[in-house]
Amino acid sequence: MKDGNCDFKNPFSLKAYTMKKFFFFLFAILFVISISSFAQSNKVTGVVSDSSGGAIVGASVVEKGLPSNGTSTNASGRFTITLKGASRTLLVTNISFEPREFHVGNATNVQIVLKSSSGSLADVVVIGYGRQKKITLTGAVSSVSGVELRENPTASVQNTLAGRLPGFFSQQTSGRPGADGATFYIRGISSYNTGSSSPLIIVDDIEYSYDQFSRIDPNEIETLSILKDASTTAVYGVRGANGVVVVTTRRGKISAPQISFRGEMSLQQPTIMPHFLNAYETALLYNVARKNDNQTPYFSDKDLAGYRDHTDPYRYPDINWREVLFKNFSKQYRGNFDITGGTEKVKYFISAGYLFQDGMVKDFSSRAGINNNYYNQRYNYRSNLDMKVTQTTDLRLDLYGNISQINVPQIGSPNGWNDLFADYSSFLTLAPFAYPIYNPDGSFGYSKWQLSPGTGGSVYDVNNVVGRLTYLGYTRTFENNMNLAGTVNQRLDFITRGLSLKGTLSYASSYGDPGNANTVSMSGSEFPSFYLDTTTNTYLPRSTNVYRVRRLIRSSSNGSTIRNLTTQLFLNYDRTFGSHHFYGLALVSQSSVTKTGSSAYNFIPNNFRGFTGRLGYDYRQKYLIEFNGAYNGSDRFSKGHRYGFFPAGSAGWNISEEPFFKNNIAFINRFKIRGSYGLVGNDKLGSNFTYYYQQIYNSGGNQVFFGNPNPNAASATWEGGLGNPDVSWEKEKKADVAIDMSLFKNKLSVTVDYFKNNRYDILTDRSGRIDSRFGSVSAVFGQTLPPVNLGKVSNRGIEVELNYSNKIGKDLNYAVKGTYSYAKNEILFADEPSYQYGYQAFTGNSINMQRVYTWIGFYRDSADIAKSAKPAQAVRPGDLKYADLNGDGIIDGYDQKVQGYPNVPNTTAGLQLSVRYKGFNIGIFFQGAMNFNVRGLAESILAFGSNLTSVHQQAWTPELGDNAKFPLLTFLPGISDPRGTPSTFWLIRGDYIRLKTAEIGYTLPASWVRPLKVKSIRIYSNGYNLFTWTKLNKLYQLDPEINQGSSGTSGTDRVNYPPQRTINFGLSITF
Amino acid sequence: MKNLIKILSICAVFASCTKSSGFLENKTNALDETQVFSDSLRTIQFLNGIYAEGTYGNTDYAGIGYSFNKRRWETHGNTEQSTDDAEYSLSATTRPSVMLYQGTFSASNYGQNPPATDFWAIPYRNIRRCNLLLSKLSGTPLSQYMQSRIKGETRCLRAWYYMELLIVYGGVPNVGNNVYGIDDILNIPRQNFADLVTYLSNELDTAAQLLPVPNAPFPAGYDNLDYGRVTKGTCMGLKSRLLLYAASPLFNGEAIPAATAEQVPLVSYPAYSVSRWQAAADAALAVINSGYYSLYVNNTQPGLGFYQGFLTRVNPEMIFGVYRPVNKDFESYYLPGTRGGSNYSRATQNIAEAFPMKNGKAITDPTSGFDPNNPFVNRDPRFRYTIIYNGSKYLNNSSVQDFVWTFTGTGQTSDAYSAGANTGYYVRKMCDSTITNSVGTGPSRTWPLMRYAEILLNYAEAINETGQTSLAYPKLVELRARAGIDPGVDNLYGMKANMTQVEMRAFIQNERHIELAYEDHRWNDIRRWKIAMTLYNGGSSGYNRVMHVTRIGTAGSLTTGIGLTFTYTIENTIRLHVFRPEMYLLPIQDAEIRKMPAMIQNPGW
Repeated sequence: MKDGNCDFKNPFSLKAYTMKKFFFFLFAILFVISISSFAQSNKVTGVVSDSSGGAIVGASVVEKGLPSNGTSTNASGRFTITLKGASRTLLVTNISFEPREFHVGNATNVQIVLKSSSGSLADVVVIGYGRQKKITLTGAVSSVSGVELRENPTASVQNTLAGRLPGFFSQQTSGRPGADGATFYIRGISSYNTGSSSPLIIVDDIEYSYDQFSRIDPNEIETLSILKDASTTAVYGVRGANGVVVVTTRRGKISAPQISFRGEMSLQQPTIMPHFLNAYETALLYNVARKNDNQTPYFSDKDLAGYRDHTDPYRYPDINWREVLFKNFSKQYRGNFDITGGTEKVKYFISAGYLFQDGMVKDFSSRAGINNNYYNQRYNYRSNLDMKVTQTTDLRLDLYGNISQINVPQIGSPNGWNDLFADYSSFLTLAPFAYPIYNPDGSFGYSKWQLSPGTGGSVYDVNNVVGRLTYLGYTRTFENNMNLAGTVNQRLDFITRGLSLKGTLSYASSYGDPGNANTVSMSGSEFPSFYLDTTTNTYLPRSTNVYRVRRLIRSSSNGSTIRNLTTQLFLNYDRTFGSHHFYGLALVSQSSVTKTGSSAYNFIPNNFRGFTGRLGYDYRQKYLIEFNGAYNGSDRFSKGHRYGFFPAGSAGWNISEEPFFKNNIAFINRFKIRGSYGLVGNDKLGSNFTYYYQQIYNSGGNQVFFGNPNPNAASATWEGGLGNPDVSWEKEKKADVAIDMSLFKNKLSVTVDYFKNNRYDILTDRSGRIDSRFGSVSAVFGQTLPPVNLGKVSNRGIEVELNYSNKIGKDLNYAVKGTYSYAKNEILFADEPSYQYGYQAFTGNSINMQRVYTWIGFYRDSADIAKSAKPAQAVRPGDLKYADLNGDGIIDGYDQKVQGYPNVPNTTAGLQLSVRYKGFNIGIFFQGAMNFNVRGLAESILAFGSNLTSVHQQAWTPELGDNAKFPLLTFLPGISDPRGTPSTFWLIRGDYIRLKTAEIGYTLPASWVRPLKVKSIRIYSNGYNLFTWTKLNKLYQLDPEINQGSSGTSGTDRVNYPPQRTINFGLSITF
Repeated sequence: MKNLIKILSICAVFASCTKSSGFLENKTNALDETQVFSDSLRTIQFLNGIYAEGTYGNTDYAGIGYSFNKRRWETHGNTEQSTDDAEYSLSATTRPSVMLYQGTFSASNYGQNPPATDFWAIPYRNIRRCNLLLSKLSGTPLSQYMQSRIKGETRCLRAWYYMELLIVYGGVPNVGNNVYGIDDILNIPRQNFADLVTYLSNELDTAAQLLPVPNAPFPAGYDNLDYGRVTKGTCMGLKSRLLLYAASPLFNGEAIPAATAEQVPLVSYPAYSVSRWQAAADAALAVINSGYYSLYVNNTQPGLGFYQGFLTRVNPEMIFGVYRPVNKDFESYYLPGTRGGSNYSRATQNIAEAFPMKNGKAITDPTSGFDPNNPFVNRDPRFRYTIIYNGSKYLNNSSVQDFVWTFTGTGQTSDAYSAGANTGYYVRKMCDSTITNSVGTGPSRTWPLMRYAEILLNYAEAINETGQTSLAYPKLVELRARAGIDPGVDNLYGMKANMTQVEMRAFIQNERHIELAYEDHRWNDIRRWKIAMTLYNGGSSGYNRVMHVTRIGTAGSLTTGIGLTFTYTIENTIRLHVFRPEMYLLPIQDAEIRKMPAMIQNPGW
């Protein structure tokens, strides 16, 4: 490095070199900036831009009172005008923007920002590597502004998007602080290959991970777009097939410094938390189940009376664990502080944010001097600087990141779950009569029941839960994301007008990502508890050799850093020759992600390089045509299979610009049809592979212990899965046709998209190791096969977006926005064995549909059993009866059929209503989803696995017969067991409608706040997940978006931290 | 000009970032095939991987491929819980052990979650490893001697894995020496049972020629560091097991009645031949006569040798084992809760009853002296070394030899009998009673895959079937003497003199039951003897039995064990076992047959 030469063989030194040089360059420029002096002059130059800072080309600038003295802005939004009158005021107009009168005063250089006129067609939208006017857009993009996102008090930004963006499908499976971000898909799922359906996320041109994305502070967001079709995603080539989320952050504008402060306080409670039966009700059902199994009752009449009458709470405890363990409300605090402003030379947006999201657990641990409640604490910071270095050179320098801390209590739950909610739902862990919390002397209670709980076994003999919450400690995860991005934009008008060159260099460092967490734990272990020996009436210790509370022991695990270095070099061209508008983009980008991995891949960079091009043309904004393409290479594939070309074409026709239309159909202001078609790729295959083409041998120490007389530890080596040198990425052909309309003076706008995606060459492991449903090579082969490009999936659907906004009188504005999205996929080809019965194949069905038995009722009586098809094991009246699909008289695996719906909804919709009157605004937003299934098993529904709910009280009895809502209560696992014999009985549609957000706000009149030297004060209240109506409650007391296991087919086996309902109060002040 | 220079410099910066040779080239330094097989140490490590079974990074599952592992499926559960020996603490219908005893195991549901893949996939995975090693061996820098030894080890291990398949399925596809590549299309039919037995028998003979004699001094034998690798004796022992399996009723010309003409040769010899029993007896006798092995005897306390053998690393009885470092594998698995164990597998009354009295007489014999009101005294010493019963002594977590109480009543502990859960017994065999799972350091112990006692039983069983019942006696005497049973006046250790072939058969089956309990034999034995139907489909005997001990009153001391009074009630468990005739052989997974349609499914499935 000393002599300044790059060592190209070593990527680390290369980076260091480049970074160093680059920043030297940046800072050198900074020092050169000088401030120009002011002087009264008639010559005024200026820039006209939109609210996001984009230059407005061709805006008309006319001096007020002198209509003949006018000009228009050039390709970079600039104009020069010599003022002749005395008004010193400019009238600035442009199509799609509200006209503006701008008082120049004594300034010679002005920045004029135009506000978009109403109607979404007018907007400028962010697309991949740029932005476009919606009027000339030919691709499928949906956007939401940062303002809208900020109306929602949830901690993770993606939770705000469902129902707002057509084509966005999501599931928020947990409400745990720090882990409540929804998983999401754009236009549903197009590949059955697990781990490959997640969209690419780009924040200010830099790729983000899911986790990074959920930690963004919404206050920093300017706009968020999702790119859905080929024309918009093709620029991302091999990474675009799952759609792209593009976020731009807020930037400074020319103004005096403006300081904003927002403070919010929220109350959170679960959307749903199961209500379990009390001790008496549970004991009654326990006896019923014993009776059904021909066992003597476990609880005597005296016991039952004890539970019912609560006369002896130590002998007959009846605990409402929900009240004991959980708060009614947990709190969340959020605060932001930002300064924005700037001169023409330097513009800045600087913000700091704070979030504290507390957990639901009551405080027990302060007794042990610690805080082990769930919580999420996050600091966000951002400094976005824009500098004008010379008249033609702009420099952007962004520094941003977040620091977060996530806390989880150590619970010591059975089965290693370490999840208090699993304890709560488990009958064998926390039955209502499990044990009294405290004994009369104040010591922790326990019970003989829990020492040898029914059929549970010693796994469930876990100590007093309040004691565990007090003494077992916590695990705290620390994360630190730091990003630095610099961009230099050089206008090359001196070569040819409209040409510019832009370079971006960004470095992201994320320390302690969840996959490799950086944690500090304080761990306790044993503590004494005592149970009442009911025969001797004495208290005995739960464990005879635990005399004291063991101290907390600190341990830590050091995470590692993910480094992501991205460089991009753009050549942009945008120029209008009369009626002809040309634009183009050429881009070279490469990224290198280095992170920890398996031993063979540890800190080996994951490299990607791409060349992207875009060429567009429009004639008077009427005929639109655009070509996009990317030539990408990914190091995951072998030489010769690394690079691919991903082209897309799109075209549009603004019919409303045609004279015959304009002159005849007045109520339609815009009518555009557009379409696109192209090819994109996907190089993800989940976490199982790094280089798909390479066969790796693994080795491990301490594997065999031969030796006499002492064991001699020796290593072993194994052949890993085979490599496939010919493997390539998944590909998708995307087609999209759409209509964009705006009607009634732009009050109503409508967009309808129809799309069809054909994913092919899906990476498939033919030995079925990654997904046991697929693969047609016998295990006799003896080794895992490499991925090959095989499968085909089609995904088609429709999206509708409606916006209507209007005014009543002068001050009452209202708006209605509706979205509807439908995306249904079908596996056209997958490498499956040829099943004996066609209904067993997953091919032909939607991804993640489950293979289950078909429930047709209950076995009524022995006569019914005798004449019905039966499984191998004994069945009893009240067991679930299944259809004998292959007609062999036996219910076995061959009668399972792929049916129902997948776990991800194929339909989602949203309806937003908002009203603004003077300083008041009210908004409500409903979101719904349809056509998906939830399946529970084990601790989420199984009687005596789960604690009992009211549905268990309606278990089958001869009297109830077919009106029963649950099979016969029993302790014997049999045909009705939801774990072993999944059936349509357990597969419940989770369709729901939610009052997702609601907001009411009031901006104090200017006359009130002026004396306080404050520009504006706004007070508001909003809520998230306020009400839910769902079909799921027919059987389950679960949130409909509940986690469905890794591949979405295993069902949910317990209650986990439920998504939260949030009620938020906020205050925002601008100075 | 100024602008141009600036622009060029920007371009240069970016170009320097983009320009780097081999940006997309593979940068791992991972091992590959060439590296492994061009290095003698790594080649030996590859062989170690077959011994260890490639569950790299997961010590819980190390050795799973040998099938003996108590954690064969998930972290607990093995076939013993599907027999009359043990009750499983867990009962979810998806667990393979539960599916096996419930009779819900089928070709289409195959222990889905967790998967019971080790019946099928794990053997084939290891067979491939063996074949890969054999194909590369000549190119490695190892000496001729080492190559030949490794060839022997590999072929012996390959035969082991085929035997795992054979006892479960009958004849299976024989992949020979093939190592398949990604372009191979597999559709291999099952090999006839007879041919597979011949193949394996020849393989074991060949391997035996290549391997050193056990205990032979280095360099002719293994170096001390290599003690525990397979030897010539292992091959001979495996052959004895193979031929005994092959001669057994399940395979020896008594194919499952449902078998079609096409299936019969796949799953059995088409016709019975007594000569197979003779061959099995000869193979066992070859091991016995080799003098390589002897029983581990220590009768300073009756039967102590039987118990200690399992805790002793270097042991003349061990023919093949999983050699482990210091461990608490079995304590954690079997011991009662008061000893910190998980007792996934709990002993039943069925096996408790199988043990005779110390005088060697079965407890059903009126002259045995058995007292149902005091059932645990004066039993075969192996009883107390195999089972923890009410009042057994075992180290407790306070490091005191203390009673394990399984009674219900005043003073009951968490180990107490509980319907559907605790059986009243726990397993002691192979557990070290001077430690608990919470206290003390475990022994450096070996999991017994094959030991000399089995060879003696193999011989006795086979020779009895040839009609030479009297020749079985001396081997059984040897076993029972080591067990600490009283010799009796006739020196027959409680065995009835001059048993008929039928009596002797029942006797040997019982002796094998108790001697090899919990060593992963029972499930195979009850199938190959075709007695599973009788065990499980005779009315109430579809349930295992358990021992409910009840304490009467509060008299006596739980600390000294003196003055306590108990009643003993034998109850059924609540978990019904279902066995159907087709279950004598397991089905080949339906999906596997769909993938290789040349395979024919087993009868009845």
